[in-house]
Amino acid sequence: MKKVLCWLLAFLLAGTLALFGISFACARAVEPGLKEGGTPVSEGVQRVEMNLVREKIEELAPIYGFSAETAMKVVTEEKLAEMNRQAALWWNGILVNGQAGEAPAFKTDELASAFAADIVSAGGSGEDAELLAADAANAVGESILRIVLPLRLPIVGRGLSEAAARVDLGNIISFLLGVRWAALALCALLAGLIALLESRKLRESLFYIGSAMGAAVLVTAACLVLYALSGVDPLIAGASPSLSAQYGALVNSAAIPLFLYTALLLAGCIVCLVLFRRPHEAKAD
Amino acid sequence: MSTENRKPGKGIWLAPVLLALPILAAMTLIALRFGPLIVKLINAAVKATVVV
Repeated sequence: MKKVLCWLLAFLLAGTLALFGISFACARAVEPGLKEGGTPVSEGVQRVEMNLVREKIEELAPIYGFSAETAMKVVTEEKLAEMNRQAALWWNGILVNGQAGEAPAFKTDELASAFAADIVSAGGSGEDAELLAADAANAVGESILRIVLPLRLPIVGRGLSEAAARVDLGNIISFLLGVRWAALALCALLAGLIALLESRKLRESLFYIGSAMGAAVLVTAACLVLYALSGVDPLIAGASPSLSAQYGALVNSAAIPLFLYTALLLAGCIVCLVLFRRPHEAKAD
Repeated sequence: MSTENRKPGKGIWLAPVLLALPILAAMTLIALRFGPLIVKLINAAVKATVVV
């Protein structure tokens, strides 16, 4: 009976350890966005965004008749970083309050005056040049916004406000972030119960706890395989290259702690099972 | 698998696999049953919200 109970507890411990690892990794990825002001994207993502902005400007330049170099002088890395800060604030509003705040916008005044000068020097008349320059500046500003925050903002804002009318999204997110600590407490409780049940031979409990750790490694690895097979990454990459870069950075920030945790569990499994075997081997000698 | 009276063999290394099997089986069944639906929902959400 005791053995059946120990196996049952070990089974629950395996599932809870895997749940802790996955929820911990997800929380590590989401948590920086909850800080005041959010967390801007990494330098690598910003480089990808800058390249996409350059490509888009080169695509728009012949259509509107401005020089791509002029636009690139105005659209600096600092301005892109400022746009990313605004986007981080927008995400922060969703994560903390469950409501989309003010949508980021690229100020186009400087671009418009630079484009107007370009168009006039190419032979355009003053009034037409100003109108065309304003159109071109708006097109570039819109493209930059789509690269930094490649979402249909009105749809997302509407969806969030509809959802907020029914549920407290901020509360749900903080509840989900708390799941890892609940799972960790449950892990400690289950391991403690196993140790308590095998209190006469404490080393026996190492067998169950080590097995649960090994099983958690297999379950976590299976979750990663299922995620890789789901094809979500190519789906996002196909939809938007900039979103793919942002999502990739988010997945990486979750993957590193998850791999470390899995390695720790594997080491724990090996240590527990070796320690369990050792007294038996000593007795056999 | 007796752990009290006789020396444990190399079989102890199989214990984690045996323990994970029911969870892995359940995960596989859920993935086969609901996986395509979940991917379709994600696809629809991406198409509706992401600007191409």
